[in-house]
Amino acid sequence: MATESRTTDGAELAGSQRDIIICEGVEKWFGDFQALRGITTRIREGEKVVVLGPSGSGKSTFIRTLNRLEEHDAGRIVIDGIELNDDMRNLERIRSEVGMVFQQFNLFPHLTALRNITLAPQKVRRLPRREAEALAMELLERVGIPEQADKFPGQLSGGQQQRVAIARALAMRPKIMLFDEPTSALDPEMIKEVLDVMRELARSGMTMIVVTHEMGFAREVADRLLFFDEGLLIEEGTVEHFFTNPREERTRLFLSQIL
Amino acid sequence: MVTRVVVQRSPALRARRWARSNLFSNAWNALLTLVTLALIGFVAFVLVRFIFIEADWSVVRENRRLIFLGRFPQEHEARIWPPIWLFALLAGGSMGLWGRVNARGAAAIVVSVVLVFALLAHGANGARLGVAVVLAGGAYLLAERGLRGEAAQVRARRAAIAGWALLLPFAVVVLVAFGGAQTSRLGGFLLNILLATVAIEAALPLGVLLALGRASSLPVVRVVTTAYIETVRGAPLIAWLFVAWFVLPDVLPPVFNLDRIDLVLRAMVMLSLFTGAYIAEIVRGGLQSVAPGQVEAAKAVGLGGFDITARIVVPQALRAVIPALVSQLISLWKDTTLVSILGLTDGLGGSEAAVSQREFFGRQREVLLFAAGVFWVVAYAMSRLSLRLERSLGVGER
Ligand SMILES: Nc1ncnc2c1ncn2[C@@H]1O[C@H](COP(=O)(O)OP(=O)(O)OP(=O)(O)O)[C@@H](O)[C@H]1O
Ligand SMILES: [Mg+2]
Repeated sequence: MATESRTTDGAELAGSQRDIIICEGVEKWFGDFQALRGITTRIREGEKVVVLGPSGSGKSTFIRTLNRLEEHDAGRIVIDGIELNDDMRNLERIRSEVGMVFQQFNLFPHLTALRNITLAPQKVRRLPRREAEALAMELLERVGIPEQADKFPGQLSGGQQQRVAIARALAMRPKIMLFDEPTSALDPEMIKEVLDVMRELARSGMTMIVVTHEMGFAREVADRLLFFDEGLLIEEGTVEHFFTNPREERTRLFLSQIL
Repeated sequence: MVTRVVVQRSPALRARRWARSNLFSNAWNALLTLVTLALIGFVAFVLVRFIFIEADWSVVRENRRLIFLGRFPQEHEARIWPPIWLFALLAGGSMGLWGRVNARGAAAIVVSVVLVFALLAHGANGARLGVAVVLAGGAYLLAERGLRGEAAQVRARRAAIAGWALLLPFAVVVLVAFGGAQTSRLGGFLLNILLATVAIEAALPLGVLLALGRASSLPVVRVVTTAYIETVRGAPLIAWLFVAWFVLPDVLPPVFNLDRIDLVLRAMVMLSLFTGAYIAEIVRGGLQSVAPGQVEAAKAVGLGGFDITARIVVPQALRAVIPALVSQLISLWKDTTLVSILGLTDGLGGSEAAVSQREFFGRQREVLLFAAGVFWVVAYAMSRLSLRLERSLGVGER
């Protein structure tokens, strides 16, 4: 298990002893196909975890089980002390504690950037409109595009859309943020602006699980890497571990391909 | 190095080039162009000659009551004006709030107003029509010029939307309530307009609910809505109107006099139920076009099922199908004339009744052309409105 932290600021948070995510033997089937074959891991509060693996290895499926966009078929998932099961009330609590950012942004195209952000706080948290808008503006400042508040997603660049999407997720004041290849759909010149926002988020002490192929980002921010292959979590460790002497042959092969 | 000299061409030259490349690019195209032009010219000539020289439009003026109101009781006739005035006010104001009237639009409006006055103004009507024109123009100017600041704009738009929502109930109350006319006496184009408006306002929500039902994960809901949609679409509107006429009275329970509801109300119900089924299928197509990522994103921020449907999925689905929806509603507008088979006198029926009077024998062409014009104007307005709606909702922008 990772004991050292690679973050610069807020490093002590990464050393927190509280497990905010506990996965035990998590399995997921799509029909006859098993996408997750018993995933067991724990993630501590404030930890930054980067998930790696070849295409189809189950990375997306794994993080989507963490906010129950996919229901796991076996095993146990506990988020901040709440077990994920069929209980609707649990589901609501989990969803507002876990934010998610998608590869394709998935902004609501018929709403302005501001309304994209205020919708959930108003409807779920019952925040009055003024407060929700103040919060949204604060978050747009944070991701660096307050001037785009009244634009529709179709009028924004990919990088700007993804930053609005991050602000939208943060508006629910989540304790955990999930990122599924947040920069894969972006042109190279926009990748940095999104990664910068994620770096700042990491420094603020947020618990983050990030599926990404951006090894520079992983090296700089990750406390721990998880390597998936064919639905199995086959190796985990610090960045040093992965870059100096990965244990598994598969890992070595994969890293040699993407580096 | 190649330098390209851009020569400012005269408009005439440009037009000639455009015609050369688009209309006369080869012998076959040239022939087609000439034949088409000849046809258009002929039709235009015949129409213009008829409208301005041969026709005797007095038949329309003399029969305006019959055409627009059918057998609506004369003593209640004054009741139709407040709704018309509210409509004029809202139409003018909305044009000022949401659109700009360009030169062509203004010309079209002036021509229509002149036509309406020429054909329909007579005695007290002239003054009442004048009130409508003044209200519309005043509201337009006020909305376009008189509003200072964003907040005032937003408030005015909200007021306008509320006004449109209240127009139909207002009209119904003014026409029918407080000792007004019986609904069974509604007729003429007033009947077409009321039938279409009621049916549109009822069929849209019904259609959305049916579409959601058909897409539901609950088998019972799915089966029931699917059966409804397929049954309704399985027979022509005329057949359903006959059902309303002959079958409904026997089937409906005699409570609240449901079995004795008059034909106009039955027609309204049937048109709504019928159109609802078609709208459901259009909306279903829209629902399928909403990307699954939208629902996932909405779930991920914690929105509940109702909010996801009402605020994320349905708005996007409707936005995607505006053209098909409006086309269905236009077809509903014209189908309202089928209620004549129930013995009701709608605008077309009133027109026919007008020319069956001895003194107007042989004037069918004027009256029918006029009736066609009324249908066309409303249909065209709906189609323009849908274009405007599409643009302001940014359809196709994503
Ligand atoms: N809804 C689904 N129905 C059926 N099979 C699915 C579904 N979602 C994922 N799978 C399958 O599960 C496996 C894991 O998919 P997943 O999307 O988690 O991979 P991934 O590691 O995220 O890959 P990538 O890097 O391409 O995003 C794949 O083989 C995929 O085809
Ligand atoms: Mg994936």
